Amino acid sequence: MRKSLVLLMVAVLVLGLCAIGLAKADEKTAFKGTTITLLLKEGYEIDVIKSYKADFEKETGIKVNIEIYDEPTTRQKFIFDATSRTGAYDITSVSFWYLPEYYRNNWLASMDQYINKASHPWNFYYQDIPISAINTFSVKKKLYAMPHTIIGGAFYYRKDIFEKYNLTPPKTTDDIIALAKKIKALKIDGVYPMIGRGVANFSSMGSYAGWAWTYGATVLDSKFRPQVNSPKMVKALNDYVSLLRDYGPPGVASMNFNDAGQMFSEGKVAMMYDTTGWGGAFNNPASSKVAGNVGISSIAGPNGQHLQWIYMEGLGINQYSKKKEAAALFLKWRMSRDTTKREALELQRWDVPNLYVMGLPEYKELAKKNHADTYVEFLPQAWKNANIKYWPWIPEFVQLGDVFMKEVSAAVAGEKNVQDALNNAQKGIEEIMKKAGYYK
Amino acid sequence: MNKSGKAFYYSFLAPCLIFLLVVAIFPLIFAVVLSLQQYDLTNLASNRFVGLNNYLSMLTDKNFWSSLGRSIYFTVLSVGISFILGFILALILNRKDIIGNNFFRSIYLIPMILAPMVIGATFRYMLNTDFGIINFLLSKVGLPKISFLGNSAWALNSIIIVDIWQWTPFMVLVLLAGLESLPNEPYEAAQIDGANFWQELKYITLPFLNPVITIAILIRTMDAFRDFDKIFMMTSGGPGSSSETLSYYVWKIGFQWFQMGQGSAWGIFMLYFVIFISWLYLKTLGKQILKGEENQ
Repeated sequence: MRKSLVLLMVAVLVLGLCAIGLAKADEKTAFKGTTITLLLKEGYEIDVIKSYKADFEKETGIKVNIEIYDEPTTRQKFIFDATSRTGAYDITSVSFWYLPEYYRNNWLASMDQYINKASHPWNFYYQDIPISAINTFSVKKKLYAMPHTIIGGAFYYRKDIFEKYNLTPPKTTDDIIALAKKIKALKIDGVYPMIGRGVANFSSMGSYAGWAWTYGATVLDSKFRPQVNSPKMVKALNDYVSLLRDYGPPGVASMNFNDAGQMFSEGKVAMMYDTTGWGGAFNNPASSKVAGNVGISSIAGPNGQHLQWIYMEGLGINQYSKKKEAAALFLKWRMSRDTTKREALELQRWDVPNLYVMGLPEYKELAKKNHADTYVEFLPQAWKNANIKYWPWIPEFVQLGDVFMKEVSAAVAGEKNVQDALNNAQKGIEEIMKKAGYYK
Repeated sequence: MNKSGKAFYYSFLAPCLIFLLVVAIFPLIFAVVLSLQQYDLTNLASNRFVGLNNYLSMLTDKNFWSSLGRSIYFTVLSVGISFILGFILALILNRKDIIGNNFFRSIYLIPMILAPMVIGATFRYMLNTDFGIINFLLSKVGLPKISFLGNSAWALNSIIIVDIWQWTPFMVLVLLAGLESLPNEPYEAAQIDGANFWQELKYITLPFLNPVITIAILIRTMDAFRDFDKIFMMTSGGPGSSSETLSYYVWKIGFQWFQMGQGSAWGIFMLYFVIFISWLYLKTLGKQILKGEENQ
């Protein structure tokens, strides 16, 4: 009797496992023959899709077409597709600053109805993704984009220069200002003390707003009224604009994030404040002349808050897509343990936002071998410090950012002083907010 | 022509007329309709008819006047200098005794056939203060480095120089074709009368070449006024707003901020402004040269 019972239990167990296996196989192949089209923003986070999409296609029978553009073009293409309701793209890259705009117009499908959290194809576990990113891409507890990039603020410095000249790495914004003066006085051949973004469009705004946050200044107050010419903001930007204008390279007022990063990679600057996204590239000998000599730290400002440069990116499902389930399956594959592990270990992307992968000993060992251990250790802290409160997170962000940066860029170029620039920006932003109906 | 003949005639015309309606007339009418509305593509709920408000707000916007000023500055300098350079080069290439004449004629065309985006991206690197070849060459001859794209005084002028580089070949091409079509007899008669090069140029070449010059400048004016790609690639309108022309600002309104109503109003203004300038040009400059021709 007991023997029969054991046999029965084994049989049930085997059948159960088979059923799970079949269910997994079924889930993976349920959309065989479907074609999905991805609209992607260029960047290192999509390398994994380009590299391994053939494996996904082979396993699922789903054909994946991808189109890759720069960020403004990606947004344009998606907006034209969404407003015409054609559903030409099933999945799109979603920079977090566009989420309010996309949400207001109901252009993204809520993922919750398409992503079954109980099934785990390719070892996809929802809880592997940092909760801060899930919350950022959620509205009213519904997720609208699967996060695949989390970026915080980071301060980079050249360890070799600091060691050679006996300089102490900065801990505060005042330290950075003092160090810029010291490095300038040292007159190191071909090395400028400081660099950052200066180009006159919204993509640079994060640097200035993130710096100002540590002085207690914000672009908008809690009632959406602009505060860009407040005394705290003027003080903050006087300091940061001076760092770039007086201690940065000529032409910094027209530099975008690529130009600034390239200058640092080429070894032409001693310090840079930007995003954690640069850590991998700076430590990669194939793309950086300063690999292995890059220090990274978190900087506190006068009010004790940390320097910010928040950026998150996710993959959202187009509301007008006719293949939402297949698209959701692709997103599970994209952020699964299996795929993100390959992304980290084979493509050596260090900031892959999957907590399981980041905890793997082989990931830490590989990072150490590639001089990225300091960076990898820094990431969780930077993500923890990231505070979205400083961001003017409204649908009109692009216009607001353009108006703000046009004035600030002019100040960096030395065309006008910071106070005048911010007074103009204040007027411009007030007009935008009034026109958008925030107040009369 | 009888009825069936007319039908046959119109059946041949119809495809062209329909094509023209779809790609030119309809978008133009649609743009005019849009320009009378608040039409925000990212806030569809707020869209409504606003009459001439978009045009009125354009006229009171300081960005409009400053960007229009930069567009005019860009157009005048770019077209003016590329015409002068193009005319000089065309005169040189028109001489039969130049060695390698055909080679130079081919090589001059290269900038013109390149995509403006590619030119913008290439010059962005070439003009870079630290990595660019132009500053490298300047430093080799002992001159200081110049922040071509990061200095407000240089940014727009640098783009103009690149535009001149790109479009001077067009002037060469058109003017050279004009020069080669001129009759020899007036020159032979002038030489018998003892006319020098400058007299030939003033009294024969320029008057005879007038229709070609008019067309070349007209096409270049329309093209330069709406130049966008190089500005987008090289400076994004900065530093500050120092290289923000009208076409770049209209792009921002329409395709960055998606305010299609306002963008259409500005676009319609650009269209009529170019038409007006062209009309003015044909009525004044074109006529004056023609008048000079008649007086001879």
